[in-house]
Amino acid sequence: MKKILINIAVFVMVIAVIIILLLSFGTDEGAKYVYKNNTAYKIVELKPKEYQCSECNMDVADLEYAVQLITKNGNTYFFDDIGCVVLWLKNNSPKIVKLMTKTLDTHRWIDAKKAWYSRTDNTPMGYGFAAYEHKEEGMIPYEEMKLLMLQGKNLHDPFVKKQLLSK
Amino acid sequence: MNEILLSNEVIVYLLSEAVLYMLLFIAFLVTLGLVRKWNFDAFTSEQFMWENRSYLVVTIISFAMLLKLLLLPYFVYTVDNLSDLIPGAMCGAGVIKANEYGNPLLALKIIVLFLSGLWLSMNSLDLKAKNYPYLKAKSWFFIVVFVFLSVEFTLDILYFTHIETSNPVTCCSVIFGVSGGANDLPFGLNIPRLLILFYLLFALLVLTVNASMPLVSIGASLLFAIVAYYAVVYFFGTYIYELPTHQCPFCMLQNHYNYVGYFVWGSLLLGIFFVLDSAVMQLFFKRSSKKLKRVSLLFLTLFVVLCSFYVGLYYLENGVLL
Repeated sequence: MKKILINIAVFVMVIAVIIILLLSFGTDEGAKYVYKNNTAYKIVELKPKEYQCSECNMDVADLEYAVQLITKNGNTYFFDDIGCVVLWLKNNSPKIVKLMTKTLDTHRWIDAKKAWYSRTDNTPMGYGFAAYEHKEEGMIPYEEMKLLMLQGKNLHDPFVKKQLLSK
Repeated sequence: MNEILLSNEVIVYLLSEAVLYMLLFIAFLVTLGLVRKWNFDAFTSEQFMWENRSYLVVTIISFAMLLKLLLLPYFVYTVDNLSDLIPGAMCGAGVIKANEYGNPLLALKIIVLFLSGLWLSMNSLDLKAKNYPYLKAKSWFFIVVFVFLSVEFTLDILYFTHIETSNPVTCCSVIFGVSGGANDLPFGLNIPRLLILFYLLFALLVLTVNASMPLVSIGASLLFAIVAYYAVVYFFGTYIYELPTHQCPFCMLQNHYNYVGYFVWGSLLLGIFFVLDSAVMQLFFKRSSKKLKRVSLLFLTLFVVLCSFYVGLYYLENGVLL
C-alpha cells in the first residue's frame, strides 16, 4: 500500500513538473527581443519597456529614439538607439526588409536610411545620433552616421564630445 | 610575461594540474596495456605483473582524482582572486568570461569531477570483489575520462595564458543583471514558477531516492541542477546579497558574504553527484547503497535549507520580501 502511494505521488509530481514546463514554454516571457511573424512587415505598435534592445539589452523605454528592424522572415528587432543598430549590424547580417526609426521632429516612423541625424542629442545610449525627418544645419545622412559610429567618433569619445559640444 | 601567470594562485594551480596530469598520463599508458593484456584466469608471470600494475594505476588514479576534487574549489578561488588584476571584474564572473575558454573549462571541470566520482565508485566495487570483475570496464571508462582530462588540461593552459590584463571585462551586474529587463530564465520560466519547480523537484528527488527509482532520480536530479542554478542566481542569491538587483553566482564566494557560495554550490554539486552515483550503481551494477542515498539527501537538504534560510532571515529582519 505504501509503495502504491509513493508511486502515485511520484507520478503526480512528474506530471506537475511537465505541466509547469509546458505552460512556461507556451509563454512569451523569453522572447522580448523579437516580435515574430510580422510577415506584413508593418511597424509594431510599441509600449515603453515592452521590448529590449537586441544590441545592448536595455529596455526600449524612450520611444522617440526607437528603431525597428524588420527582416524577410517576419522577425522584428527593436533598438533603443540608432547607434545600437549600427553595432548590431556589424555582427549580424539579416535580410532587411525595413529599417524604421522614429523621428524627433515629426514623431513619425520613417526609413532610417532616409533620415537625417544630429550628432549631439541626448540619446538613450549616449552616442548622440538622433533621427530627424527634415534636415537642419549640421545634420548628417545615414551612411555618414554609420561610418562615424563604426569609427567610434560619437559622444562616447571625449575628444569628439568636446569638439562637438564646444561648437 | 603575462601578469596572470605570475599570480601565486595561478602558479600553484597550474603546477598542481600539470603534476596530476603527468601522473594520470602514466596511468593512461599502463591502462592501455591493461585493456589489451588483462586475463585474470591466466597464471602467468605477465598476468601477475599486470595485476601489480593495475594496483599502481588504481592508486595513481584514486590519488589524482581525489586531489582534483579539491582543485575545483581552488580553481574557483583562483578565478575569484584574479578579479583584482583584471579591470572591470568585480568577481569571478567577469574573470571567467575574460576569454572564450573560461565557461567551457568550468563546465568541463564539473563534468570531469562527476565522471571521476563515478570511476571511484566503480573502482570501489571492483576492489571489493575477489576477481576484479569490472577491471576492463573501469579501464575503458578511465580512457574516456582521460580524454576529458586532456581537453580540460589544454583548456586550463589556454584559459590562463589568454587572459588580458589590459582589456576590461564586464562585471557580474552586466552579465546577470536586470538592467535590460529581459528574461534570462530557461524554458520561459518566471520566478514563481521557477521556485515551484525548485521545491517540487526537491520533493520528487527525496521520494525517488528513498523509493529506489533510479531512472526518475537521474532525470529529476539533472533538471534540479539546472533549476537550482537559476533559482540561486536569480532569486536566492539576491537574499544572500540583500539586494534585488545583484544577481551573480560568484560574488557569494567572497569574504563579504562569509564564503557562503562554497557551501551553496558545494552542497548542490555533492547532492546531485551522490544522487547520480547511487542511481548509476543501482541501475548498472545492481548495488543499492543506503549510505549513498542518505549522503545525497543530506547534501540536497542542506542546500535547500541554506537557500531558504536566507529568504527567511531577510523576511524576519525586514518584514518584507525583496
